[in-house]
Amino acid sequence: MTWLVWPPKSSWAEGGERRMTIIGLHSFLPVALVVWPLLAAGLVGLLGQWRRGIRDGVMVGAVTMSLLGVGVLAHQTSQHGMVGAAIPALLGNLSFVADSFSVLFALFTTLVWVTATLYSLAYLKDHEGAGRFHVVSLILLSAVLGVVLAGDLITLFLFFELLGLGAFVLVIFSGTLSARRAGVKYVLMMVLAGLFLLAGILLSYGLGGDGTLAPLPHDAGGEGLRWTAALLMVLGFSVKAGVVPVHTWLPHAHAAAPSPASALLSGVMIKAGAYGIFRTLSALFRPEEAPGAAAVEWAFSMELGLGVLWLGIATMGVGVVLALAQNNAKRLLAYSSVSQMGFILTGLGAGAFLASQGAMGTGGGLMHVANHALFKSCLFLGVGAVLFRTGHAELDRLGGLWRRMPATFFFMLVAGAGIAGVPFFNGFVSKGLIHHALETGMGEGGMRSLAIAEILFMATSAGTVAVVLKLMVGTFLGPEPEEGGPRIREAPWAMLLPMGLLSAAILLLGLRPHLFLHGLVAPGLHSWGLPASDLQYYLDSHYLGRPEILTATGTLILGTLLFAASRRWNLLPFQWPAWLGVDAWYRAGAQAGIEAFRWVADSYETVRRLPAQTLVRRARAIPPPEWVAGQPFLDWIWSGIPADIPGTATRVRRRIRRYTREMTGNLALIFVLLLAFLAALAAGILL
Amino acid sequence: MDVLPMAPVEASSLLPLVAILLPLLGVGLLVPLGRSSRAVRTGVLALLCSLTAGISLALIPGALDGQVPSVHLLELLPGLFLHLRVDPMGALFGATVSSLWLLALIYSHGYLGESPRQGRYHAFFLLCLGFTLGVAYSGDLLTFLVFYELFSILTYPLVVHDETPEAMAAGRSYLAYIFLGGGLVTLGVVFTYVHSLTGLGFGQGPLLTGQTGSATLSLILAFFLLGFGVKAALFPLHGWVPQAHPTAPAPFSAILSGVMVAAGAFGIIRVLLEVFGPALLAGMGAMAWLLGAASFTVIFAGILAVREDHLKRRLAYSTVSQMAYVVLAASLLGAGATAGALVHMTHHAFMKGALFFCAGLLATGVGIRQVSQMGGAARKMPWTMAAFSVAALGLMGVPPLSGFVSKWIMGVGMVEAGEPFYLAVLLGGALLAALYLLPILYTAYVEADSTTQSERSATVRGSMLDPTAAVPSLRNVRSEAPATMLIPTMVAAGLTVLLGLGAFISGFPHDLARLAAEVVLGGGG
Repeated sequence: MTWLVWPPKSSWAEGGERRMTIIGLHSFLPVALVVWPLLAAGLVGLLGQWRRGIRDGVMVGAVTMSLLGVGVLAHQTSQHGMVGAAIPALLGNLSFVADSFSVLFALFTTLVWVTATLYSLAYLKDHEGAGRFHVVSLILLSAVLGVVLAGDLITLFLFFELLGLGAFVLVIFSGTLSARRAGVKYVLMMVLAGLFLLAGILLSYGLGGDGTLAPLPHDAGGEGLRWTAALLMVLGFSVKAGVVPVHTWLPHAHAAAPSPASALLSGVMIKAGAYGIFRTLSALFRPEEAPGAAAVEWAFSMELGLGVLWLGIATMGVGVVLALAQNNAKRLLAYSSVSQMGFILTGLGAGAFLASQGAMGTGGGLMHVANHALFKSCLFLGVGAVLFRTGHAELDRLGGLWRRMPATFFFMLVAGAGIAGVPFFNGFVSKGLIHHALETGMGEGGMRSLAIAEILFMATSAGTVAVVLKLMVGTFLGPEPEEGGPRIREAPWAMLLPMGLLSAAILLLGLRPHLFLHGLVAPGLHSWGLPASDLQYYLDSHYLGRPEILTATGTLILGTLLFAASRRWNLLPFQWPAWLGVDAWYRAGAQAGIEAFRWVADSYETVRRLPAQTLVRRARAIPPPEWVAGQPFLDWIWSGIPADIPGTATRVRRRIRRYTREMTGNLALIFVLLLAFLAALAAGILL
Repeated sequence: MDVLPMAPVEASSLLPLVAILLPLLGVGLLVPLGRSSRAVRTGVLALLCSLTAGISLALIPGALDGQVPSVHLLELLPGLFLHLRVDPMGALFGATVSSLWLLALIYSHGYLGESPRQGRYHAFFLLCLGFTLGVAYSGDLLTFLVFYELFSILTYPLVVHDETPEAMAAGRSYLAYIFLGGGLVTLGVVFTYVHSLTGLGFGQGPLLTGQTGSATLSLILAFFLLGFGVKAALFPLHGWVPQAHPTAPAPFSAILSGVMVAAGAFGIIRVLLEVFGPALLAGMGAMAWLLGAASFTVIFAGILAVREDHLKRRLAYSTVSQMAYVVLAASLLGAGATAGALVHMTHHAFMKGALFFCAGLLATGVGIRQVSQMGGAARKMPWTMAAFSVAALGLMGVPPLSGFVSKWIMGVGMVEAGEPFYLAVLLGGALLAALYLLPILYTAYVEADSTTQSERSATVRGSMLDPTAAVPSLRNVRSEAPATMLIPTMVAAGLTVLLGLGAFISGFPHDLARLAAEVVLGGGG
C-alpha cells in the first residue's frame, strides 16, 4: 500500500522548507472521479444525435458510475481520513485529495446529478440540443467534482473556472433573448469572480502559503494583506454562491436554463461557491495546530467568520423578500436559492466565529448545503414537470393541479416541507443546528448583536414557509385555469422517479440526521483536531425535543399568517423601486465604464489624428509669455518654433511636411518627452 | 534542475551560427527556385526552416545543463567581435522565434496563393528569421545591436507587402518609429561601451557599475528604454503597432505580434539585467517610471482594444497590452517575475500567432475583417473558430491554457517581489482581455449570421449575371480553410494547450526561464 505524502514533491511554490507528512491513502480514485465524466462527455459527444438510445444509456451509466465511485471513496475516507493522488500538469502537480468534507459535497453532487440526468432524458427527449446538454452536463459534473476534490488552490481554481464558463452553455441553452442577456451577465460576473479569486490565491503566497489547502501560518504577512486576500477569496466564491450583493446573475440565469439544468445550477453548482467559502474559512485561515491554538491564532478566522455570518443574514433576508415578490415559479425558486445560501453562510460563519466550539455552526451549514441540494433540485424538477405538461411557470396562470398531477404534488410537498423546516424533514435539522450556533454565539461567544441576527433568522424562516405556500398553493390548489385543464396528465415516470429518489433522501436525512452528522461532519472535524461533541449533544437533547418542535411550529404558523395576510390584502407580487436593487447600480456602473472607455478611446483618437501642423498652428496662436516678449533671443526662438526650416529645398520641405502629417501625435509626444527628459537631465547636471 | 550549475560552461560551437545561416542560405536558394512550382519552393524553404527550428530546439537541453555554446566571428572593431552565445534566455527566445516562423511560413503558402511579389516576400521573410535568431543568440551588446537593426529595417518590405496606400503609409510610419528607436539604442550602446569596464559581453554580470555618474547612467537607461520601448510598443511609443498589423499579410502579422514586439521586450530585459543589474537599478529611481509606463500601457491599450472594431487592429492593441505585461514583470527585477516575463513572451507568441492566423483565415475565407461581422462565423469555419477560441481563452488567462500559466508565474513573482499592488494591473489587463475577446466569441457562436463582405459580393455577382437568379446564401455554408493554413493554426492553438498543461515538463519555457532568471539574478526571489 502506498501512502499519500503531503505536500506533493514538486509543488507550485519554489523553495521553502517543507514538512513531508504521511496523511492518508494514496489512491487515484479521486483523479478517476474527475477524469471519468470528461471521457464520458467525449463519448456522448461522439454518439451525438446519431445513436440516441445508446447515448442516453451511456449518460445514465456515466453518472451512476460516478455516484458509485463516490460511494467507494466515502468508504476509503472513513478508513484512512484522506485519500488522494497527484497528476503532473501545469507547473507542477494537480492534486486531488478527498477528506470527509469533500466526500460530503461529492455525494450529494453525484446523487442530484443522477436524478437530473434521468429526468433530462424525458424532459429533453425531442429537443435538438439534447446532445449538447448532455455533453456540457458531464463536463460540469467533472468540474464540480474537481472543485470539491481539489487538493490545492490551483486545481480548485482550474475547475472553478471550468464550472463558471461551462455553465454559460446551460444558461443560454434555450437561445431566447432573455436567456442570452442572462448569459452575458452571468459570464461577466463569473469572469470578475475568477479574477478576484485568482488575486486572492496569488496573495496567499505572500502570507506564507504554498498553494495547498493547508492553514496559512498566522503570523506571516501583514494584517492588510491578510484581509485583502481573504476578502478577495470570499468575494470570488460569493459570486458563484449567489451571495447578496453579488447575487444578481443568479435568478436570471437559473430561471433561463431548462429545468434539469436549473436543478443542477441551483442544487449543486452554487454549492461550489459555498464549498470555497467553507475552505477559505476553515482550511486556509484556521490555526495550524487547532487543538491547542492560542486565542490570537483564532482571532482572524473568528472575525472573518463573523463577517460571513452577517453576509449570510443579509443574503437570506433579501433573498426571501425577493422570492415572495415573484410570480414566475422558477424565478421564485431561484431567489429562494439565494435566501437558502444565506442560511448556509450563516452556519459556516457562525462555525468559524465560534472557533473550536463551532461544530454546530459548521455542521449545520454543511448539512444545509446537502439539504438544499436535495429539496431545491426536487422543487425545480417538480416545477419543470408542471412546465412540461402545462407550458406555464407563471403562478397566476396555474392552479388546481393536485388532482391532475398528484405524484408531482406529493414529491414537491415533501421537498417543500424540507425547505420550510417541518419536523421530521431534513431542513428542520440543519436550521435547528444553525439556530443553536447563533444562540451559542450570543451566549458563550459574547456577541450580543447576534440577537438581531437571530430575529432576522427566525423572520426569514417564516418567510421561507410563506414562499413554499405561495408556490404550492399557486400551482396545485385553487381553481384550475380555464385553458386546457382536463387534458393535463401526470408527468412521465422518468420524471417522477428522480423526484421520488430526492424525496426519499430528504426524509432519510430528516429522520436519521446522525448518519450525516456522524458519518461525514464529525470525522472531518476530528481530523482537524476539533471536538464534534456538540453535534452529539444536539442530537441527544435538542433534536425533536419539545422546544425545537415548538419553535418550528411557531415558524410555520407565522409563515402561514404571513402568506394569508399577503393573499388577503393582495400584497404580492410587488415591484421594488429600481434604485433599491443593486442590479440597477451595476448596470449604471457598467454603462459608466463603457462611456469611460469610449471617452478614452475617442480622445486618444482625436490626439492621434491631430496632425503636427495643427499643433504648430495652435502653438503659433499662443502669445509669448512676458518673460519671452521683449527678450531678443528668446523671442526669436519662440517665433521660430513654428516657422518653416529656412534655406531648404521645396521638395525636401514638402516631404518633411508629409511625414509630419503622417507621423501623428505620438511622435510629437515622444519628442516633447525626450526634450523634457534631456532638460531635466541638464538641470540635474547643472545644479 | 535541483542543483544549479554554478558557473555556466562556455563551449565553442557552430550550431547557433548554422541556425542563423540556414535561412540566409534559403534566400540564396530562392534564385534557382524562382522558376519551380510554389509547392517545391515552399517545401524547400519549410525544410530549411524546420532544420533551423530543430537546431534551436536542440540547443535547449544544453542550455538546461549549463552549457553555453559560443562562437566568435569577425572582428568588427578592435576587441569587438561578432559574438554568438546561447544562454538559457536566448535559447528560449530563439526556439520561440524559429518555431513560430516555421508555422508562419507554412501558413503563407496557402495565404499568398498565386498573388504577386512572393519572391520578395520569402526573401525578406527568411532574412528576418535569420537576423531575429541573431538577436536571440547574440553574445554581446554590439552583436545584439547589429542584428536588431538589421531585422528591424528588413521588416519594412513585409509590412508594405500589399502595397496598398494604407500599407505604404503604415510602412513609412514604421520606418520613422524604428529609425528613432534604433538610433536611441545605438546611442545607448555607444555610451555603454565608453563607460563599461568589462566590454560589452553578456553573462559576466552587469556591464555598468556605480562608478559611472548617476546622470550618465540615467541618460544611458533612457536611451535604451526609449529605444527598445518603440519596439516593445510601450505607450506613447506604440503608434506603429496598430498601424502596421492590419495592413501586413496575416502570417507576418503573427510574426510581428508574436516575435517582433517581443524582441523589444527581450532587449529591455537584457539591458535591465545584463547592462545595469538589479543592484544598480534599485538605487536609480528610474524603475518607477518604467513600471508606471508599463502599467499604464497594459490598461490603456486594453481599453483601446475594447473599443476597436477592426479585428486585426484589436488584436494588435492586445499585443501592446500583453507585451507591457512582460516589461512590467521584468521591471520588478525579481527572479520569479522575470521568469514569468520570459515565459509569457513565448506563450504569448503562439497564442497571438494563432489568433492572427485565424484572423487571416476569416478574412480570406469568408471576408470577415470586423468584429461586428463575425455573426455565425463559428458555423462557417468551425475549426478556425475552435482554434481562435482556445487561443483567446488562453490570452484571457483561463486555466489550464498557457496564458494562465504565464500570468500565474508573473503573479506569484509579483507577490514574492513584495509588490502585490501590480496584481491589480495584471488582473485588470486580464479583465480587459476578457472584455475585448469574449464579445468576439459571443458574436461568432451565439449571434446569428450577418451579411459578410463575400456574401455581398456574391449578391452583386449573381445579380450581374442573372438578376432573377436566386443568390445562394452563405448562411450556414461550411467554408473551412485549406489544410496548409489550417494546420499551422491548429498547431499554434494546440501549443497553447500543450504549453499550459505541460508547463512542468523539463525543457519547456518555465524550466528554461527560471534557469535564465536564476543565472542572471542569482536565484531566490
